[in-house]
Amino acid sequence: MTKFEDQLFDELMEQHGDALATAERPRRNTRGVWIAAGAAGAAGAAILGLTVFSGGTPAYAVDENPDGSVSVSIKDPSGIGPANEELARRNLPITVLPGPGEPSCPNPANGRASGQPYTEAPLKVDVRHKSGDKIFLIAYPNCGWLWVQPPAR
Amino acid sequence: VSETVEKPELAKPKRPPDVTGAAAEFERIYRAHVGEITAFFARRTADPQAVADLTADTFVQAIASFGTFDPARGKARAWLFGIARRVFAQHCELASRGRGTVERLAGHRELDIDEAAELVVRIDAEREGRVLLDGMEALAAIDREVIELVDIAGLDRTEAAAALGITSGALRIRLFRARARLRKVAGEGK
Repeated sequence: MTKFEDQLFDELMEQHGDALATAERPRRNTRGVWIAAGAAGAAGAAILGLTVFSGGTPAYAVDENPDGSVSVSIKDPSGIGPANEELARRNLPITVLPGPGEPSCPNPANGRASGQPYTEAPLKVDVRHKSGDKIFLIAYPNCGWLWVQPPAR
Repeated sequence: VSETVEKPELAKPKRPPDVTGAAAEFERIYRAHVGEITAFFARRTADPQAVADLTADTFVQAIASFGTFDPARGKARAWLFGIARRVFAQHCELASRGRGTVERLAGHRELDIDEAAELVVRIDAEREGRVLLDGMEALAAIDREVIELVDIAGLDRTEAAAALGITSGALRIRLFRARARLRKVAGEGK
């Protein structure tokens, strides 16, 4: 970037940044939320290679897949904020929320929502749902689980 | 008695919080294409201040219409070139009416020496393109634009068609005819 280009960008943000800050961006087309990555699921195994964590790497990963879905991993609760920043930066309709403590740990057997330990394979979330609603991934810090809140029907 | 007055540091312009992520998305588009848009105007005028003003106007209009720009339906590059064309047409229209000072959308900001020098280099780099455009005066405006966007600016045919607001089929036909006319004109000039 040249000085002219940098100065012009600062000037644009100063004078017109308010319009951008509230600009609604077109939503992506969508259909139901699904999880392809159970802890031992085949789909989960297929995308595991895209986001492998090791020591010193970020505490989260966000990957957009060729099929239109998005893979999200949270290594630990410190990754929630940066993951949300990255999701917003990419204009993806997903937000990770810190969930309540241990007494409310989700039960994988109840069938109402799907999730997995967030240190394992990324959760693969289809963002092409028609409603355009936000999808919430709930991270249960004391349980170590990342959970998908299905959209309201 | 001497007194040292410390110069206050110039604060960086404040930016509002990027609630929807639109500002970050716009910044990516800006940084990817501002050079091409500056070059587009540098082929049309050798005045650095005019290049700066027209580039600024293009991105102000881009911000104003950002809510309706859908990347799934067209590339940012074609969208920006479409805006740049309209900004330049408006500039020519006002100039032809004898308006010495074009009403600025972005607010006119005088370039400092460094910025002016950068734009002079850019204008110099576009000299060949400018000469080529000048040499195509015998062609219709639309033919010149088709050739410029595809053969000089390097847009692909889909992008050029979107920037010109025509179908890809129409673009192909115009490009074929424009190149044939250009060859004819060049042949006559020899």
